[in-house]
Formats: sequence, structure tokens, C-alpha cells
Amino acid sequence: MSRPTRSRVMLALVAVSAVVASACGGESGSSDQTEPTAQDAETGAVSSTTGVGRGGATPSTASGVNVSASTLVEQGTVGDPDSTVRIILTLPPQSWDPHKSTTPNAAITFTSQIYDRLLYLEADGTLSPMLATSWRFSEDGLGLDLELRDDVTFHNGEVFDAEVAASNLIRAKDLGLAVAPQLANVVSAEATAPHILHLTLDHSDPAFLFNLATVAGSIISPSGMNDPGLEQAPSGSGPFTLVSSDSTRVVFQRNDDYWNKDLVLPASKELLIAEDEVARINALEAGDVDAAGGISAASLPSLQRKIDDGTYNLYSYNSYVGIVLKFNTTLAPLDQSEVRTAINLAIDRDLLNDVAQEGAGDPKHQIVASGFPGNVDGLRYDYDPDEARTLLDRAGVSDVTMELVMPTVEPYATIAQLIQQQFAAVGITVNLQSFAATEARPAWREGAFHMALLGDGLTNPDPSSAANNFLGPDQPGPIDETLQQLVNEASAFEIGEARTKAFEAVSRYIFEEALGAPTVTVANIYLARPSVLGMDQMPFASQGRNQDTLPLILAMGR
Amino acid sequence: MRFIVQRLFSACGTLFLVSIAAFTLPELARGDAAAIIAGDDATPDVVERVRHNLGLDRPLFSRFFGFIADVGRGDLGVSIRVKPGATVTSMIADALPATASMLVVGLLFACLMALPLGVAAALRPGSVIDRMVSVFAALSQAVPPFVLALVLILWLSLGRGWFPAVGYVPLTDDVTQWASHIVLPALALAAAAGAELTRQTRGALVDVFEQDYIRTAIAKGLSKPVVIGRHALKGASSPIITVLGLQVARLIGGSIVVERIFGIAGLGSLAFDAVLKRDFVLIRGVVLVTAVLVIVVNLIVDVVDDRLNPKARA
Amino acid sequence: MSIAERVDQTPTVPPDEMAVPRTSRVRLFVEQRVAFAALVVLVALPLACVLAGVLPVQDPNLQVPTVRLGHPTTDNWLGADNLGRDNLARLLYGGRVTLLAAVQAVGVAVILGVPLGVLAGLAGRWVDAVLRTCMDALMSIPPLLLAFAIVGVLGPGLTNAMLAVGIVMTPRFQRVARSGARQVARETYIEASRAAGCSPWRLLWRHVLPNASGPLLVQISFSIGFAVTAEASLSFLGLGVQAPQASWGSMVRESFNVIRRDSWQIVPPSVAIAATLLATSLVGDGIRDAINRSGGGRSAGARL
Repeated sequence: MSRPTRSRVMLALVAVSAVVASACGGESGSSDQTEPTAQDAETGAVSSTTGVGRGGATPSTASGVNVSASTLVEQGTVGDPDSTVRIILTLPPQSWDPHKSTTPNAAITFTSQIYDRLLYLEADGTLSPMLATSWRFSEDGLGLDLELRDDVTFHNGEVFDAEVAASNLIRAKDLGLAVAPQLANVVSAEATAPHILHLTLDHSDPAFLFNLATVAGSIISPSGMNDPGLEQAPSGSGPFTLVSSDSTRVVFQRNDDYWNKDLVLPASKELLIAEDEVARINALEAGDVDAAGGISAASLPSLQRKIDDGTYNLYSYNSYVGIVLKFNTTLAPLDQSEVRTAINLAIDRDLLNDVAQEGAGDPKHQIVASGFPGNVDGLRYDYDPDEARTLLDRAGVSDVTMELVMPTVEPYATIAQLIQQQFAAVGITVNLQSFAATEARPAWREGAFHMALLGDGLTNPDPSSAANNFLGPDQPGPIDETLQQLVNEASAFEIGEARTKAFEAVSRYIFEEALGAPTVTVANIYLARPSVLGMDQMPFASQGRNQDTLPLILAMGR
Repeated sequence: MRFIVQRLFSACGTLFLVSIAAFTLPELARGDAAAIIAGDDATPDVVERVRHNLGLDRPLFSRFFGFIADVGRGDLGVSIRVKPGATVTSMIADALPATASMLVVGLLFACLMALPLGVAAALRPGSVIDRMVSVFAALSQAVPPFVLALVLILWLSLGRGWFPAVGYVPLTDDVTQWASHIVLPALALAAAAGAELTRQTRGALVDVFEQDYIRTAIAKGLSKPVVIGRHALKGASSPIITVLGLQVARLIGGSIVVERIFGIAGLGSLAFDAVLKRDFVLIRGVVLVTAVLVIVVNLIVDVVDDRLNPKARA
Repeated sequence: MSIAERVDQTPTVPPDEMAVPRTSRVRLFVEQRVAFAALVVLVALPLACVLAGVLPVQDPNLQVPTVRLGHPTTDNWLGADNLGRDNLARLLYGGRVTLLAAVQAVGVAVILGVPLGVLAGLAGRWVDAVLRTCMDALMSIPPLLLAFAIVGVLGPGLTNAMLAVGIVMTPRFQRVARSGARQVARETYIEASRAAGCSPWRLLWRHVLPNASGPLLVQISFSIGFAVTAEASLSFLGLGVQAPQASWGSMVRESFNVIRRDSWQIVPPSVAIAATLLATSLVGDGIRDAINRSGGGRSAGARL
């Protein structure tokens, strides 16, 4: 059996080397990563006139012009009403009952197609009318009157009025689930006229209006609210109805009786879902979809040619939020602010940004990213491991071991490992505790671990949202009284200069106490063929990764 | 007939044990199931309400028999995390066509690969062809399905553009689209099965060719194709079919990763989501249904095998 | 026939070939040079992994950002991964994890399966029938799915995953051990020994195990291959090994994440896995052929 076996081995070796050779000849031989060009332009400039919510305004379109929905309609760059929009995203729909969404900011992508909200959040962070045409707070801020549209019918034929609106808000609040906190200050909701809704609030909060533009303000039809099957069979008044839904594909169909006659909507929308970025890019490349979300900056170099020659347009929303290393201040040695500050100094944020995001995001030092209201100019932690070690020694802490909750998705996994090495350099040993993406936050909230690397969610673009992250269940232990007071004071201001200034004080406090360690902002990147319209108008896209929202007008061009 | 009844009886016993396993599995989980289902922000009395609604406060045996009764009626429960409110039965029914397509087409590919290669190798044992087939089979089995899937995507989809890289189109929607979407996944899944089948075919045929009655047939002047077709394959069919039946279970398991890579919403994907989100009810349902599938397939294989090669009842 | 019986029908080694003295089989194995070469690889690879600490190999966790996604150079023989860690080092240290996991899984399967098999072979019809139905039930559930389900219940982590894989592989070993035991049970000299008061343990040690050892070794060979694939699959999906620990499966995962940027990264772990699978496959074949050739001419066999 000697000769036959020898040739068998030879054949095998040839086959293996062929495989190796072909794989090697593939992509980039060079490891020099050039910064993708379309990306680096904007960080949103602070506009003091509109106060809050310049958050959305950093899209980069092919034309470079920032346009609003209505402008697109006016300009005539409308979509083809017979077209089908196909886009692939990261997260699947949750429940079709919006008030039962477990992660409201991710759910809105899907629920916004079917359910209207009371107000509409524009891409630049301002509020527009939707089911409510106008609104007014009372003098003391404890009353809110909303005038509602009278021409809205639900998909099932029922009519929308103030009673329905009131029932919806009460339902959302009473269900006590994830959206309920956004309506926590609503004492009562009643219809003072067929189309006038009056809300009584227990404290004044101008930013409350934003909550009515999110999932919390979704309006379900009367029979839908009582239907136990609502979670599979949604019933709203929105621009689309649901055709089919499974874990990888959701299909919507245009509602031809939609009340907003100004909009030209596509005949149908298909939202594909793939958790793996590679699968999303593959789908785009293979032509299965025309737009893809959740693209990481690291993947851009391999697609650069197609971006440069116009095959794809790049839309990069520089995110308002970012990845934050949260501290459990009830566990030693994190109960000492010097230790927390030392940790902040031990993080090389530029390196994190480069390695995990190819430099796409921005290093983040405060609760609010630079360029957004509430950010204090110049307040930053300079990377200084020596100083960090000095501070640690002075605090009497050296050679300590801590546990870090790490979601197993990117870029958290990469950042966590980078941090692990950086901390080792100052004498802190980090044990990584891995959790699936959806399990990480619940595990952290149980309060057993020292640190967690999580994305800071926002309920709305106002800086109060960012500050509240340090007052809620994400911060184990008793509430920081000073912080609570500062936030309450700042929240009382009307949206504008004074409010911004007050929140800068909040930022400064959190910075000086080092209540957390912000690392980098996350760039929310989309790639789309030029035929897809409205990619630069996504209202929630700047509120953080995984929070993709498709505006009404996303459509295919002619 | 009595054979079939006997087999059915045995299959039922197996199924009963599987349902015990399926039922027990979630019981082993850490943490309070009701609290997990109610969600992070639920208050204690919401948790209790959930516990009562799901019957989690009843004793173990009562729950088990309730489970069996429900399954008998076709009620596999309601998903608690992956698609809250949806019945597990409907979710599985939606996911089944995709996986079934992959399996059937995959097995088809496996046979298309195994038969010609196996025959060619068996006809000339020890020859170059035989060795090449051997190497090919060994290599096909040595590459894990998901690596093969990635290679196929890189090469045939992104490289040549012959096939789409993502998704599934139901057969009822568009046959050509269905076919083009199913090819790569089926191929990735079935390569290893095909390799095993090849070896099995070769081995069985080599034995059969050595049998006297085959030599006699050839000596008598019957043409080789006829000999192979009618006699040899029939003689070799038993081990071949046997392996086919055994491979089904392995293929379903492999579909979990392949479906993830290709973004197909099949049973594998469903199982993965269920595990990731700790949706115990869904996990339980999927395990049960796939076991039923495997048992049924093996039953069918049994019957077919019996028809083709009636054995003396020892 | 039940699934378990079908597995018996396509055994790794035909039953009538099993009663052959061991020494001649060992010699026959060594004579097959390919199988022997594969065995050498199968021993050398784990050895390299185990000795990684002593060999001049870099720190697998040391991140060197300047060489990220590097191709093979004199510093990094197999290139570097996305965080600049040396691929060769991670391959060797990761190999420890993967191979140890595979051994754990196979160990679980052997510890569970062999005694149950011997029991089935030597005990009465009822016990045999009950055990057979149990194994049937286990084999009805797709192996990876059951492993997933168990992991889903117990939580992610390599030990849980490998426990699950071991349970999944138990039936094969049960059938092989049972076959060997039944073979021995039929021999008349066994009855004689029993009559003479020979204890069951002695029977086990001196007759059953030597008899079944050949097929068991073959099964172990094939099963290691399956366990490695299972570990790779589970780690690929994030349910096995957890960061920053490396295993071959997690390395494939990480290479998948950067596949559009650098297709070289997938090569080291894939080749390692494929090489191991190929080696276990060839070794298993070799042992089986050695057993066969000392008895007869058949070369069919089931290798699941």
C-alpha cells in the first residue's frame, strides 16, 4: 500500500496548499488603514438657537446637503410609488405592541411604520407635528394641551380622537414595561374636546415632548389596545401595514388611506435582518438589498472603491451616545473618586477609537459627546498611565482585580480586551465576564460586578436623557443626591441657552466625580445605493448604535 | 405490516423519552423563569401574575402531564422572548420550509456526489480514481460546514456572482429564486454528508462486486451498467439508506450555523435565537419537533429498506 | 429497526472481526504509513500546544496595535489578528483549549457510554431494550441542537458546552461497547469462567475491554473529530469559549468578523481544524483497516 498512499498524501497536500494560496491572494495585503474619506467631515456644530437636539445633524450625503422630509417632497426628488425599498438591519422586531417593547429605541424602526406617534422627531432633533398639530404647556408647566388631527383613521377603520389618544398614553404607562418610565410624570390624560388632549403632569419637564415622539407616544387603535393578539397583528394608523414578519424578514405594504397626503410612499418595504455585519454587507453586495445599516467603520476600506465611484452612498451619523464603562460605586475600590478618575486616565481612547472603529467615532470624555449641548469645551481625560498609577497608589490601591461585564458583540468585545491590557499596565487585573448582547445589561443591573461596558441609551435627544443614565437602574446602589438635584434644576429650564448651561454643570459634576468612564462615540453607518432616498433623514439614527429608524419617506428614486 | 406496527410502537417509546428530556431541559435553568419572562422592569406582583398564568406554580408531575396533553393537541406553548405572544407551533411551521428545503436539496446533492464517485471508486479499487475519491471525501469531511459556507460565499457569490449570499425565497413564491438561494447553503451543509455517503457507497459496492452472483452476471455477458444498476445498487442499498437516515440528524444540527451565515430563517436560526434569548418554551418546542422529524425519517427509511431488502426475521 | 440498531448495522468494525489478538493489529496499523503519519500529526499537534509555554512562542494575549491584521512575517509566523496578537501563539494556546475540550467531551461520552454499553451487552433483554430506547431518544435529537439546548439552559461557557457535546456522543460509545460485550458474552469460555466463579470485573477487564478496544479506539478517533467541530461551531456562535480566551472556533469567529478586510485570518484556524479532523479520520480508518485486514476484507464502516 506504499505507492498509492504516498500519492494520496501528495494529492492532499496539493489540495491544501491550493486552498491556502487562494485565501491568501484575497483581500488587502497591506494593513495600512486609510481613513474613509466621506466620513471625516462633520461633527455637528453646536447651534445655540435650537438648543437641544442638533444631535442628528451630521449625515453625509452624496450632495452634501442636509434636507428635510418636506423639502424632498417639494424638490420633486420623491420616490417611485411603485417601488419596493429593501434594507437590511441588525435587530429584529420585538413585539408589535409598541407599549410592550423591551428596547424601545430599537423597536421604533418597525413600529414607526405601522403606528403614528403624537409628535414627530426630525433628523435635526427638532419636533414636528404628527397626530398632534400643536401643543402648549400651561404656565406652571404642569399641564400640556395638544390639539389633534381630525382626519385620521386606523387601518381597521376606527377613528382617531382625543379619547383614543388618552387611553393610549394611560395604557402605555400602566403596562409598567420599558416605555412606561417615559410617561412617569403623567398624572392623568383626558379629552377636553373631541380633538384636544389635556395631560396633567406631576412636574415640569420641557423635554417631555420628546417622549411623545418616541415609542411611548405610539397610538394603537381602540380595538387593538384590547386585542390579546396585538403582538402578532399590529393595528395602527401609520403609513404602512404589516404583510409578514419573521426573524429575518419583515414586509410592509403601503396604507393608501394614510392621512398625510404630502408624502409619496413606496408600495412596499422589506426589512431584512442579519445579526452578522458580514451577512449584511454580503446582502448589499449581492444585490439582495439596496441599503444596509450597522456597518462598522472597519469594513469601509474594503468597500472604498464602490463608495468612491458612487456605487454606494455613505451615511454616517456621529452618535450622540457612546460606549461607556460603567462603575459600580458600591464596590471597593470604585467607591473612591480618585480611583475612578485614575481609571479614566488609564484609558487610551484614541487607540480604542482606532482599533475598534478605524477612527470613525470620537473619543468621549463626558456624558454628552463633543459638539452636542451639555458638553463642556475642553473637559477631557488625558491618557496618562503614570498619573493613573500615582493616583491609585495614593488611594492605597494597587494590584487589584475587578470584574467587567462584556457583551460579546463588536465593538464591545474588542474595546473590552483593549481596556483589559491598558488596565494591566497600571496594576488593575480585569476579569472579563461575557454575556450575550441582550443579557449584558440585566446582568449588570443585578449589581454583582465592578464594571460594565455598555452603550448609553437615550430616550430622547435632550441632555437630561444622558444624565438620567446615571440616576437609573444602570447605576447600582443608592442614587447620587447631588446629581439628582442638579439634574432636576436643569430640567426645569425651557429648552434653550439656560438649559444648556445648566446641563453643562451636570456634565462637569459627573466628570469630576468620574461616575463613569466614557470611551468612544459610535458612528452609526449606513451604505445605500443612490436610488434610495431619505437615508440622510433618519431621526433616531444619531441616538446610538442599534437605534435605526427609517423615516416615512424612505423610498426608491425613479 | 406487523413490522411497521412494531416500529411505530418503538418510535413512540423513543418519542416519550424525548419529550421527558425536552420538558426537563428548561427546568435545569438557573434563575426564576417567571422573573425572566416578566422582564427586568416588572414589579413582584407582575412576576407572580406571570408565574400563575404560565402555570409555573403547579407541581412538577402535573406540569409534565399537562405538557404531554398540550403536545398531543398540537399546542407547543407560546414564545416568551423571541416573539412574545406567538405560538411555538406557528413559529416552527413558518421556519420549517426553509430548513426542509435545505435538507432535501442537500441530501440530493449528497447522493449526486456519492453515487457516481462511489461507483467509480468501487469499480476499480486501489486505482488512481479510487484514491482521488478517497482524498476528496476525506477533505470534504475535514472542513467544518461553516468554513465551507464562508468559502462558498467568497468564491461563488461575492466572487462570481452566481448565487445570492443571503436569504431564502419560498418555493411557492418563485421557483428559480428559491433554487438560486438554496444552492449554496445546501452545498455547505451537505458536503460532509456526501463524503460519508461516498465512502459508504464505495465500501458497500466493493463488497457486492466481490459477490459471486455479480461475477456470474458479468461472465454471462450482462452489460456492466445493467449489472450495477439493477443488482449491485440494490445489494448496496441497505447501508446507503442507513447512513442517509443517520445523517439527517447531523444535518439539522449543522443547519444552525449555516442558517446564521446565510441569514436564513429556518429551524436552525429559530433554535439559535431561542438559546440566545433563553426562550425555554421555544427551545423545548424546537427540540421536540426536530426529534419527531428525525424519528419519522428513520421510520420511513426503515420501511423503504424493508421493501428493498426484506430480511429474515431472526 | 430503531436508530440504535441501525448504528449497529453499520459498525465501525464488523463484529466477527473483533476477536483477534491485539499485537498483530498494532503491527498492521503501523504498517499503514499514511495512518501512522496521521497519528504522528495527531500527537505532535497537541504536544506543540501543550509545550507552548516552553517553546519560543509569544504571549497570545499581548496586543500590539502596530501589527494589526498582519500577514506572516519573521516576527509573526502566521501573521497577527485584529488586535495585533500573534496568530501562531493564539493557535497553539487556543489549540490547548480546543483539544482539551474535545478530550473532555469524548471523555464524558466514554465514561457514560461504555459502562452503559457493557451493561446492555451483558445484562438481560429488558435492560438492553430500555437502554436502546434511551439511546434512540438521544440520537433522535440533532447533536448540535441538543448541545445548544443544554448550553442554553446551563449558560454559555466551554465546560457546559463540552458536557453537552459529550452527552450527545454517548450513544455511539454505548453501541460499540454493547457490541463488544455481547460478542464476548456469547463465547462459551465465558460461561465456563462464570461458572467457575470468575467475577464480572475480571471478565470486563480481561475479556470485554480488550475485545472492544479496537472499535472503541476507532470510535474515539472519529469522535474527537466531531467534538472539535462541535467546539468550533459553538465558539463560532459565541456559546463556547469566552473572550479573551482563544480557541480555534473563536479564532474562526474573529476571522469571520474581518473577512472582508483580510481573508488570510481565516486560514490558520481553519487549516488547524481541518488538519485535526483529517488526522483523526485517517487514524480511525487506519485502526479499522488494521483490524479488518487481520480478519477479512471489508472496508465499510460508519464514522459518525
